[in-house]
Amino acid sequence: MITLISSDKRKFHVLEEVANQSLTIRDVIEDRRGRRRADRIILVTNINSKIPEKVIVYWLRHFLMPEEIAHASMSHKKAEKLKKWEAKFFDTDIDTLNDLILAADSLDIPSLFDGACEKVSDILKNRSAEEVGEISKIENEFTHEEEEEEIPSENAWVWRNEFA
Amino acid sequence: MMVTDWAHLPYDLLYMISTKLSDISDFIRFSAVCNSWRSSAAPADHAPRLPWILDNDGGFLVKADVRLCPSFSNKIYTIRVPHAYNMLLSGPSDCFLLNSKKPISLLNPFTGNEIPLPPLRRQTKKLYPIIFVGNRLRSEDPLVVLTFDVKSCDHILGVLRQGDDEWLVISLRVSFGIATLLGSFMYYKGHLYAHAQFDRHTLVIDPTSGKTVFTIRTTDRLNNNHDVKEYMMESDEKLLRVIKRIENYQIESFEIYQLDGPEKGYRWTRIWDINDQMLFLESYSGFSVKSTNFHGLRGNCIYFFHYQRTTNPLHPRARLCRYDLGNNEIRILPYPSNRAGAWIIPCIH
Repeated sequence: MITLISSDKRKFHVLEEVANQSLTIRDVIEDRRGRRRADRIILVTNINSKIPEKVIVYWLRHFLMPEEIAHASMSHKKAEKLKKWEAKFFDTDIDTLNDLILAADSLDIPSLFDGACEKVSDILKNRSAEEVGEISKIENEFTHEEEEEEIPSENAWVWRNEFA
Repeated sequence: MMVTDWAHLPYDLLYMISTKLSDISDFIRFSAVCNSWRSSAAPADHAPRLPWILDNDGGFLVKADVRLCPSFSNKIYTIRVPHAYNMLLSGPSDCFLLNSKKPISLLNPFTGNEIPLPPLRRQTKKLYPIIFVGNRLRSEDPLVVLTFDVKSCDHILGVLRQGDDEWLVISLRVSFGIATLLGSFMYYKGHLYAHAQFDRHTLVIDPTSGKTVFTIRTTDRLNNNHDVKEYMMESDEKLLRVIKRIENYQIESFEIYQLDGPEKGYRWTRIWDINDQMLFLESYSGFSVKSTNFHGLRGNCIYFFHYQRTTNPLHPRARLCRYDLGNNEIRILPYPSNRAGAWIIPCIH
């Protein structure tokens, strides 16, 4: 059992095998193997405080359904179920997705990282730059001329109306 | 508590997100959101793009508007390429169309970029329009164009290797119609392969000298009742020959042959599945990509156009179809046009 401590000082006790899905944590554990008990405490203060909970939920679901099995011998039904579960898991507000991506990157959890990136790209699909700016609360920082002239003229067809 | 800031995510994370956008129009809009998003999305080294469909009936167009639709989306974009007016366009290969009107050039319809080509010496008025053949996924391969000399009944191949400023012209005399030759043509691992359906052999041509190095015999059946289309393409480092048999507006079968290397004495062997590859076929040519590069697309499948009979026999309707080699099922996919199209891989460099 290892203990993760979040930025708001909450403790999460997780089975080592479960936390091993984070390559960063696995390396830390590997480094400290054979040492005292206190060394099984890992600070994850660099990630947003509500995220460890989500990450652990994700770990547990994937721990029950290891990736290799998922690809090789998992029945179609189970695969569908996992897909549905992931869709629900990632169906969250865009701020949480941002935190998840950062967490997955710093903890090095490839499947979580990929899933979150895919979800974000799904949100961006078929949306105009202004809509994306609104969703992600990014101020439009291009100068007026840039916006009027350069960008649309580069690939004008993207901005012109399309019809089905 | 950290503040969520989409504009200042590290570049490599933004880059990862942008690689998940397999439709180029989403990608361009992504790069228009803000400066950091723009600089993290580098178009040049980007993952392969989902092919689009050029709505030109696989033929030639002489107009300024290029109609394109992103695959499987039911959308159509009309791209205005003003200087394309009066061009005789064919292709595509990679993201380029070939303008075979003098002076010949390559045109990227997505950006309007035009690359001039050296004149093809044998190109006279007596020649049929030039058609692009070859591998459309690798730009370092030589450019190969094909045309037909009505006078001498020769097929004429023009080969332009990168850095060359002159075409190498190869004449081929074989007993097949032009339409048969077009599809079954490929540049593969340093040689040109041309399949002569009615001579029942494949010519292997050295592109530096223009000489036929050797020929490969085939054993596949000939059936005059079928409308047969042949394609040659590189798939997962292997050379494939695909035969589409149509009988009375119905797909009769797809046959796929793979070229065995020198250790097995160069021969075509029938194969029954293509693993995670996807084959894209059009009127005269085709190509293959790995399905794992495209989120949500099914591998081991052939994507092709098929003309369905309608009440008016002069106007059959083209459908975009997917043939699944795993279960031999054909499914019709959304496609907003009545005409068959050509696949084009969009790029903006």
